[in-house]
Amino acid sequence: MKSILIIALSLFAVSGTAMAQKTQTVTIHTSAECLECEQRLEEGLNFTKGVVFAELDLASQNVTIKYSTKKTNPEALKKVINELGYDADDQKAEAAALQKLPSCCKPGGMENGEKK
Amino acid sequence: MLSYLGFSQIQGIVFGSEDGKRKQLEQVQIKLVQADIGTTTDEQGRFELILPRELPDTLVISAYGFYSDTIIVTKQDRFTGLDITLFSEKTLETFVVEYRKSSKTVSRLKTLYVEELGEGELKKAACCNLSESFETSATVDVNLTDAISGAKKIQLLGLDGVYTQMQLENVPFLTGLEGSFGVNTVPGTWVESIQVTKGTGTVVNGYESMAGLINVEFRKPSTMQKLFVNGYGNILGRGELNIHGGQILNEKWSTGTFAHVSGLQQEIDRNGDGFRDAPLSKTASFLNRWEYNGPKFESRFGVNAYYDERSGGQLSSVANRYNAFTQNKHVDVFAKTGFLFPKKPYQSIGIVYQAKMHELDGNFGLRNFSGTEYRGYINAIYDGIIGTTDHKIKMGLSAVGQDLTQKLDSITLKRPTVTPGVFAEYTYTGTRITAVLGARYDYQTDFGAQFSPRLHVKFIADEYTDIRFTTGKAWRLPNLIVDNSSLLATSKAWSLPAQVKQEVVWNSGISLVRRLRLFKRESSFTADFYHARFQRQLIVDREASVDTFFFRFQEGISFSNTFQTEFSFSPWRTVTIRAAYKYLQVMAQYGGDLQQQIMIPKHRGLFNIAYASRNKRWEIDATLSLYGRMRLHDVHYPDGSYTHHEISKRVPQVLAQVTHHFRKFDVYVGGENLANFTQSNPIISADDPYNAAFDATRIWAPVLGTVVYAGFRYEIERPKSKE
Repeated sequence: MKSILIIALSLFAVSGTAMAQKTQTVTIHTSAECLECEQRLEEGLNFTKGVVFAELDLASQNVTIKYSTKKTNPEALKKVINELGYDADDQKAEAAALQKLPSCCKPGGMENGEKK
Repeated sequence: MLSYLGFSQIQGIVFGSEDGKRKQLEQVQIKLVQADIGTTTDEQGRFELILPRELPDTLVISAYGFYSDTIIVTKQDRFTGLDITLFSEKTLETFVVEYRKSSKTVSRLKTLYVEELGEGELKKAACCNLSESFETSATVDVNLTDAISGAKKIQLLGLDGVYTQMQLENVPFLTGLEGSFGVNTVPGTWVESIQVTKGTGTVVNGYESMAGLINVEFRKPSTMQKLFVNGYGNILGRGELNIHGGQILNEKWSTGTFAHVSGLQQEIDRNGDGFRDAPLSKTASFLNRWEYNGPKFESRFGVNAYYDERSGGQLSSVANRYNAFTQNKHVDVFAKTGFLFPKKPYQSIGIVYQAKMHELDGNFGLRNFSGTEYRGYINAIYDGIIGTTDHKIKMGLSAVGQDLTQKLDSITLKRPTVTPGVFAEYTYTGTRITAVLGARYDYQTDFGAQFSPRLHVKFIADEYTDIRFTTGKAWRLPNLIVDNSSLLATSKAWSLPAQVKQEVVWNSGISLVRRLRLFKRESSFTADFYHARFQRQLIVDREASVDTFFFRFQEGISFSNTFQTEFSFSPWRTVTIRAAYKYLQVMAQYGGDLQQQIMIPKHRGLFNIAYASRNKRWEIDATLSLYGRMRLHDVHYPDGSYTHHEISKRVPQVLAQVTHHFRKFDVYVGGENLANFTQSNPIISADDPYNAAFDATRIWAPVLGTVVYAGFRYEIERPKSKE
């Protein structure tokens, strides 16, 4: 077991350093408004090829994505966000995906929550 | 309590944080998004909202000039209060609270000190049943009962598991014949969450919570996965398969089905003493449950059945082998019904029924024991208010009918009892003080009446600190044979009392919970002290003689003092560290002297470190538990020599698990007892189990060394919205 742990940890270290050279971080403004959105968006992005991690800050609605430049690019990431049902910067969400979101995640679903 | 039954209501206070100051905010908009209902806060920043039936829902809290906050409200949040802080738009963004669901929490809202083990905490140790779910917790200790049967017992406040009342969704379970070892028969993956209350708890659910109360919540039909499959295997050859799934049939009806099979069919004897280090086993377990939600009426009902068989003892190759066999057969049906008053949302009536049948059959070598139990239970509760919701009242009637037969060799103890009871509980909710005053009166046929008053007070010292006080009486009727069946793994004689009496305890405690901010993240500190004084307790004295166990009722002698403190913090966003220390003083008269119970350490420590990668796809969790030296009972060896006042070594226990999440499934690899610490000679006279010196109960450390396991979880989640 110890050895497995060590292998697992060293895998991290190796992939970590490899990524450090070929990764970039991008911040995208989204239409995610609630905790449910945060879960959906983060999960969707974290399971996307090339994404190291994605974290949404609900207050600013900005998602910070660290990604591998070899495997993906900001345009592709925006498209993923659109496919999850959210706007990404000026690109609008896909209508079909938007329709599938729970009502709280739809635009206006949080109308009282929006800042003045 | 039957919180899901009656009306459901949520309360809270909203604070605004501006320029470092925190004050109550009035006229804050509170809105439930899906249900489209809302309210505003009063001049003290307080609000109350009746919750709709459709949960979870999103609660939005917004006020002009402040960042809005959203909170997901689930069924578990019913009756709770919320403490919400909105941050001024002038506040720098870095001060905005970060959301992170802590998987092991102490509720700040409950009057009683309740420690909650959520799904995150339960997944940390993947194996296998309810007793093992507590291995990453410092509050509940898990110990082997003997070196042969492989059964594990839990302890709360240093007191044996039989003194803890177990309940399944607030219905008492694992009672009677299952009291001692039932925790081994509940599959871990069925469990959604566990609530641990130290001290006597509420009177509504019964009289038996002497050391505390452990409530287990299974997955609910309306919110559980559509399909969940878990497979597990370890290097010993133990395999396990869990499958469950829920269906929503229509707006009112939903159902869930659970199945579990597991087994170990390979003999392991790593320490070479000729005994199986873990018993061979076969277990199958099934549960089908239903939920009905109507406008005037709600109901939950189901049926649960299991079969469990363990076969320990000497290896099959040994001639005239010593065999330790236990078999359990169990069926129960349960139903809970709530009647609502649509025009009076603060009132409800709930009725709980349960019927069970249990058969136990076993032997340790030449000693046979068995038992049968038929049990019926009914509890009716009225829930209401006096004037306003600041004054709540619950009252009701309960009755338990139990027909218990226990057999040991040629002795048969037949004991039919009926225990009707009445109870009332009043809750006062003030701004800083919440108090719950309750009492119950039960009459037990042949054994007499008991009056059990209890008081719990919560005082909010400041916005980060809660102080709780609890005191109360609880009692139970001991089951001489089945509570102690593991003591049959010896050649010793039992000296039983002529008459069984009720065990009675007065348990009091005080606790402190303080939230802190460390490294800009949430952190918490808790400390508690409990004193349990037994008016009467059944004590098994193994120290008066080396060849006889004396069972005696001690009156006004035995007591326990426990102090526990725990500190948890996150030095980095991805790492949470938890450290705990516990002091245990568990005293009774043994061999004529008042002294610490054998095999209870005075000191216990726990250190847990949890890592979750930023993309949440990797999780690593490691726990180190340290048990201090324990007093051991004197024994004699086959050669005629005696041990005298021996104490055990210190016992380190290390367990760790790595989990990787894929989109639809998780894979995990883990290990138990990674320090490979074992007791070198767990069985005395192992080469001659029919010798008078034979004793397999002098066990204070694991028998098995490192065990590596691996498994997977596959799930199809239920979409959170119908749209």
